[in-house]
Formats: sequence, structure tokens, C-alpha cells
Amino acid sequence: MSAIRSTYLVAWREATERARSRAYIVSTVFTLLLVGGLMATVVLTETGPTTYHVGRSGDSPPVLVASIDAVATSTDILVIQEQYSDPAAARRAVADGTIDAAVIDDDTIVVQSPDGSAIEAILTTALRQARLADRLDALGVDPADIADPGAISVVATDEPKDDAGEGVALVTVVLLFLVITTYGQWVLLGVLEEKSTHVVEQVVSSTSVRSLLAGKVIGIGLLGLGQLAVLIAAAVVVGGLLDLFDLPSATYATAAWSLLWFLLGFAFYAVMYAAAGSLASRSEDAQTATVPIALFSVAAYLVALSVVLPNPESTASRIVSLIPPIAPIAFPARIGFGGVPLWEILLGVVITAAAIAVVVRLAARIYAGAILTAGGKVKLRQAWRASAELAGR
Amino acid sequence: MLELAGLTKRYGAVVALDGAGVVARPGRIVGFLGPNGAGKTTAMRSIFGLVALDAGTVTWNRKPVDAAARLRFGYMPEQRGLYPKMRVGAQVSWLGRLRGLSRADATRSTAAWLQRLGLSDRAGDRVEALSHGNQQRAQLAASLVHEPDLLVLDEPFSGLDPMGVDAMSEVIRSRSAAGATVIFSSHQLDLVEDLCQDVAIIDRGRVVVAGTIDDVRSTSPSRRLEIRFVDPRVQWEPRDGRLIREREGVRTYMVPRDADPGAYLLAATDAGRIASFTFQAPRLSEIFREAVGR
Repeated sequence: MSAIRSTYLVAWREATERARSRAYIVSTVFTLLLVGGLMATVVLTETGPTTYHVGRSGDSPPVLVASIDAVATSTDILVIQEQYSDPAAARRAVADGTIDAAVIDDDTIVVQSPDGSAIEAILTTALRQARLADRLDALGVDPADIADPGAISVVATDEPKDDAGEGVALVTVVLLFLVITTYGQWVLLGVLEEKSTHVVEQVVSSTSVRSLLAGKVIGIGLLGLGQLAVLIAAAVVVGGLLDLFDLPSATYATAAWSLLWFLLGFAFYAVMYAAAGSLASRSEDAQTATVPIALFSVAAYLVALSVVLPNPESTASRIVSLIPPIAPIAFPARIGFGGVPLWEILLGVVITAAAIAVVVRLAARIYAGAILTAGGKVKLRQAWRASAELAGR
Repeated sequence: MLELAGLTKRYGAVVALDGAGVVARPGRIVGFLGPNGAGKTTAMRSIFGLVALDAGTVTWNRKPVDAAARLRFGYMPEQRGLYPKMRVGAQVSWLGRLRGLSRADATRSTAAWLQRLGLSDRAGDRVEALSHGNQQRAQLAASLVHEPDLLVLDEPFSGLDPMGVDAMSEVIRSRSAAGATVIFSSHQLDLVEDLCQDVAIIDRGRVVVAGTIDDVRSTSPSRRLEIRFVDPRVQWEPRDGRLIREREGVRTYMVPRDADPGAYLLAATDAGRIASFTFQAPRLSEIFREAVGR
């Protein structure tokens, strides 16, 4: 039988057995909820309520209407105004939430609760300006004469940043880190189970060690990819259809690239987890063996969060995102912001793929040497040598 | 024909195999005997390439064993192991496919073996839900599902009740009758004597006795002399003999093979009235104890 068929059979077993397991279903639902919550939070906090309804009543200054509009426009907020004949009616409208605030006469602003919201500030400023204009008018000065003579320009020292892109990037970083480490752990536990229950002897008596490793990583990787695809599709399709989220256009590209980067990141970490699992024969030993890998992936995650997210196109971000352990998390984040040149992404893919080729060779050799060595913890050097002797398997 | 020759394996200072060699032929059953730690399991694992030998060859039909040949081998490892959470039927069938069966053949063969081993109604249960004896049966089904030409069983009888022993013996006999080559290890020497045509005894990594059970018994350097006097108080010792057992007045001695039974009989008759006297080749268990020298 060919190595391809036995690899396929191992992968098929991993995927079908685990897809039915409670752990997979629970983790899919959990991640779905987590991503949904994260996206909702990001979108809600970023777009926020941008429209206020305001009522006017009583003896308010005549320029108040124009003044409110001017202040609202300058703060990028839309204010819809309505005239109430009776101050009591305006108060009631605020109390029952029909409108957000009301201005009564020229000295009272009514709000539901004094929380220092944007509309309070807008109305306070507008009312002051209107009263000032009123006074100037009374003094016989035309307010237009002392109006602002020209526009004021604002100059930024940083490049303009896409705020919505940051939300997508944050979601991507968290999601990729979560999915890669979760499924990496599954590989670890799977290898450990095979070794501790000795089923590996039965399996390897009729197939090669490398087919077993490859099949396991591919099978679990496909499950992870499937889960990620479901999550992304759910977020994009449902969000788009129901128009719940105002998703930036970079989302779709980020989603597509994320799947590729998941595969690269998973391949990179999963074979290391497999090697760690093969060195242990009890789960306590396995925890020790995975410490270096866990440090690696958490470091990559923190770098992506602290270096790449705040400043995706800085020189530092561009350099760290080319480092293989970080690339699978950092690149999708940068793509989330948009504006990453294609050549840079492809360079990242090539470097990461090359690193994977090296890691797979090293890890497969350790795995092959250690998986059949029974009892206790296997030393790295011992596994390395044993593997050379078992070259034919 | 399976031929293991000059197998050598060292684990640090421990010598597991020291030039061991065994031959197993189609249609015959080889009993592989030896004290704990003698190297039986290591030799069996070497057939499947699960151990990196320091020296020695493993050939099947005069060719070195490769991956294709191993697909026709069935193995029941010393450390039993199946995926605990996988269902029995699915698991046996999957292992069949891994050895080259089509999905349909694997399904059919799995059903047949589970039926034969009395596990049909447990096919849908997870392995971890089975009793020890049933797990052992599932393990046997897993090693037989592809009807292998070579069957290697490491301690197949350990932990089985008498019915389990009978079922296992029956399966081993029938596979052998169907032309398969069978080799199994065991400490149950009477069972081996009953079941096997051939035997190999390994001690400290070396095969010390090998051949057909009849040959091994007849070429043994010792003979077994069993005598009972009517009066159990009669004092008599055969010349060059060694008492190995005395029970209910029956004394068993090991004496040199070339000794004359007639002379022993005459001498014993002089000592007292004899109730029974036998002189025959030793039993396998006696050969085993002599061979491993303890």
C-alpha cells in the first residue's frame, strides 16, 4: 500500500472520529460565540450612536437652530431637531426616551441622566454661542462681522489609520492564535494517547511512522480549517446579509488569507507539538515538553498584539511579520488593515514555508525516534539517534 | 517461511538479544518460550521493524521484510492497545483497511471475525467500555481482520479465562490449518505442548533449544524416570539421577539420556517392590527448566 493511502486513512480516521467528538462541537460553538462577541464589541464601540434627536421649546434664541447644526457638524455627529410647543411635552419626550435631549428657553438643557454624553457638550456649546450672538445683536454688532475669518487646518504627525480595519485585525489575531494553539494541543494529546495506550505499535506494524505523523497533522489540520471557515463564513455572511456590522472591505481579503495563514501556522506548530507528545508517555511529562512551544506561540501572539496592531506598517511590524513563528498571526492582522503589498505577503509565505520544511524534518525525526520507545520520558538526543537507526520506517 | 537470524540488540548495558535465531514455517505453529526478560518481545517487535536491531536479519520467504510484506502480517503486541474512544467495529475495520483491504472487504471481514469471537453485539461500543477479556478478543480480531499469512502473538493467553483460552487456541489452530505461519509466546508450557508443532526456547537473548516438540523431547540430554514403590519408605536413588519432584509416593528423576532403563529397573527391584515405573523423554516444562538452568 502506498504511503499516500495510509496517510489518507490516518487523516480520515482523525477527522471523522474527532469531528463527532463532544470536544470538537463544544470548541466550535465556543469559538463561534467568542468571535461573535468580539466582532459585536468592536463594531459597536467603533460606530456607536451617531445620531441624536433634540427637542426645542420655549423662548430660545433665534440662532440656536443654526448653532446646534454647526457644532454637531464640526464633531461629525448628526443632530435632528424638533420644535415642541410646550416645555412640559419636551420634558416628557426626554423622560420616555423619544428624544435624547431638549433645550428649554435659553438656559436649560434636559437630559435623561447627566452622564456627560456628547449631546450634552454639543448643546452646551451651541447654547453659549447662540446667547453670545444674541448679546452681540443687542449691542448692535453683526455677529457675522466677528465670525471666524477662515478655516483651521489640522496636521497629523502619524499616517491616517483605518479604525474599522483595526477591529478586523484584532479579531483575526485572537482567532488565529486560538485556533492554531487549540489544534496544536489536539495533535499533542493525540500522539500522547497513541503512545500511552500502545496502539501505536498496532498501527505502525502495518504503516510507516511518517504516514502516521503526516496523517494525524493533516486530519486535525482539516478539522481546524473547517472550523475556521465556518466561523469566517458565519461572521461575513450573516453580518453582511443582516447588515448587522458595517464590515470594511478588507475583511474579505483578510478572511481568505487567514485560511492560508492558518494552514501555515498550524503546520509549523503542530509538528512541534507532535514531537513533544512523542517524547512523553504521561500527560504530566507532555506539559513540560510543550513549554518551549507554548512560549514560542504566546510570544508570537504578544508581538502581534503589541507591535503589529498599533502600527501595522511600521518598519518594526514589517520586519517581525517576516519571522516564521510570528508571520502566521502578524500577516493576517496587517492584511486586515489593508494596504500590504502583495510581494510582501508572498515573501512571508515563502519564508514561512521554507521554515516549515525545516521544522517538519527535525520534528519528524524526533517523533520517529521517540514514538516507539516505551516507558518514561525520552531524551531528545536519544530520540534523535534512535530515529537514524529506524531509517526504514 | 519466517526466518530470524543472528538478532542482536543492546539497550545500553542491557543485552536484549544476543544472536537469537528462529524459523517458522507455513501451516505450523511455533511456541516461543523463555523467562521474563529473555528477549521474546524484542524478537517479535523486530519482525515488524519496531526495534532497531544492532545486527541480524529478518526474512519472509527468503526476502528481507519490507512494508509490502508486513501488510500480510498480523500482530498482537504484548502491550495491548486500541484507540479507547473508537468503536470496536469501526476500529477493526479501519485497521483492516490500513493493511490494504478495501472498505467493503474490511467491513465484511470485521463482521465475520466479531461474530466468530462473540463480539457482534459490542461492535458499536467504544473499546474503553469493554471488559478486559473482550478487549483481548477485539485485539485478536484486529490482528486477524486481514487474514494474515503470518500471525505473531505476544502472550495471547495472558489474562484469559479457560473459555477464552479455548477460543484463542481454536482460532490459532484454524489459522494454521488454513496455511498461515503462526508464532506466539507463552509461559503456559502445557498449552504450548498441546498446541504447537515447533518450539523455540530463548534465554538471555539466545535461542538455547529449537525444533519440533518431538525432536526437542527426544534429543534432550535427559530422560525422565518416574517410580513408585508399594512401600513409600523404600530408600533408593537412581545412579546419576536428580530428584525433581516427589508427590503422593511418586518420585520423578532426571537421568542421562544414554542410561539403561533395564539396569535402573533391576536395581530398583532389589531395593523394594515396585508399584509403577516409567522411563521416557522429558516434558516440555522440564526441558524448559533444564534449558534456562534455574
